[in-house]
Amino acid sequence: MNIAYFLLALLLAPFFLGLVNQTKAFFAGRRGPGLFRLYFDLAKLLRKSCPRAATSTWLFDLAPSIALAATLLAALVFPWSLEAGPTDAAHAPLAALSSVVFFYLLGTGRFFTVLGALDTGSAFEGMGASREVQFSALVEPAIFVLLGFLVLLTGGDSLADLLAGYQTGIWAHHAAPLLLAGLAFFAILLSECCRVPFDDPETHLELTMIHEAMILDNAGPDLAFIHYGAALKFELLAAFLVAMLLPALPFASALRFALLMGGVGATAVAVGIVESTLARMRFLKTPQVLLATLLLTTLGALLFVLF
Amino acid sequence: MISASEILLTLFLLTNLLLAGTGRLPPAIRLVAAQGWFIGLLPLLLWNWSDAGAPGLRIWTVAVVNALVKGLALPALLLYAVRKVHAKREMEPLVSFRVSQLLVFLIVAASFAVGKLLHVNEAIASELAIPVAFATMGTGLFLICSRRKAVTQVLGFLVFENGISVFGAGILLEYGLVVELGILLDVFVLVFVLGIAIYQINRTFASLDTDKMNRLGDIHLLHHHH
Repeated sequence: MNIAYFLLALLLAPFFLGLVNQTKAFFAGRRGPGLFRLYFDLAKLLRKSCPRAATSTWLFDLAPSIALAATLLAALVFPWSLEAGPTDAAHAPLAALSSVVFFYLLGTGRFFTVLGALDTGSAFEGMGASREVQFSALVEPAIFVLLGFLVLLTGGDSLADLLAGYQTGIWAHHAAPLLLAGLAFFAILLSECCRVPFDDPETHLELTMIHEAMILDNAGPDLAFIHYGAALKFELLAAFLVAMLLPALPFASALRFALLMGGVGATAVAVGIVESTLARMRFLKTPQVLLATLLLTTLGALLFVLF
Repeated sequence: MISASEILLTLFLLTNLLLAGTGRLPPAIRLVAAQGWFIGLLPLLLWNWSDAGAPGLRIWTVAVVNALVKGLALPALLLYAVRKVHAKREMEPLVSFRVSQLLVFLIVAASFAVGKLLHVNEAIASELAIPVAFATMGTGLFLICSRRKAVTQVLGFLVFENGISVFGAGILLEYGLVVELGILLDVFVLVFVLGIAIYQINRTFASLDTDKMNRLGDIHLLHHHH
């Protein structure tokens, strides 16, 4: 059954980016490219040939596939039906590490994208790679403080326990830290997925790009892998945000999955609204905002510990 | 209702952190205005609706007056002054915004530690109220110390006063809210005077500015030679 949720989540991933773009189109007064645009784009890219620069090495050839594989593994770790993990340690020896593994698998995906970008030897891609790494290094402490907070809040340690496990009454007693953590993770999501206040996915000026600058040399199926990986990462992080804020739900697992996907859709609409109302920040301003996410998560944890 | 007031107090903390990191004046003024609205709402959210019934006229008056003066009148006055003196550009902090944010965070953390030590649990309506009050007062003082522009220092003063209001609302003094209104009158007069002062200073200096000096001398003749 969990395999079915996993496959369904894989299938839905490009839809949510379509939802973001459709929201943006609505705010700009355009008709928009449609909710399923990315599916057509991916199908088109997969049919094309895959030209690679003569100067690049095997690293550039492998990077998109490894990045996608890492993101798919992260999706396998994720508890799509929001069920608490198995209780016996022998059943899942690595369960306690799964939340760390989840974020490091996403990090592995980024690492190989960066290596592939550097391998081309292009100045723009090197610049994009440098920015990507800088921002993710600033986000990482915030993520781990947040994980620490969730461990304190739920008393569990595996990713499934962190996302499935607290009682409904907790919103009445710990609304403040949860609110802070939710806000901080929303900012983390925007930064990790290269969305607007941090990066503009629609820019066509190399100097202002981050994620897009790294993949300028990729084409065909490689580019399809990268686009699909980005969509899946967005879905994963949005699902993490929703699951983190939802209390334990006494429903059937199919209904929980549907609720989770509804929440991801709502997050996508929220991202679209943010992108329509905010402009991209100056690069010099970004570290300050990312530092603020660290402060917010720390404050949330502190509030929870003290009160 | 407890939950709603805690969410409001959390938002209050957020405005403090944002204020420390904001470089432009109009958004900073709007943040202080948001704090004003929060203060108006706070006594209503802290009120024990289920046990004590609807709050009396005094609570309503204080809420409405607070929201109108701190959320509407004073910010409008400051926005007007800022627009008059064309001071929209970045504030000039003595401490960089990043460091400011970090310091305000430390102030917040310290106020939580102090609030925890005080043990005033009998009288308070919300556990968060006292720490948030301390944090807001600290942020206000910090803004007064670390910024150069007069407008920002007025903002710091208002934030400090907001902190006192949160304290008053938090410990639910019986006549505290009435005392609050007295303080509010003082603050209103002070900010009014400061707003006028900012405008007057700028007007005096504006007449010494390049625009009119060009007309005094023969610079326009020099331009014709080029």
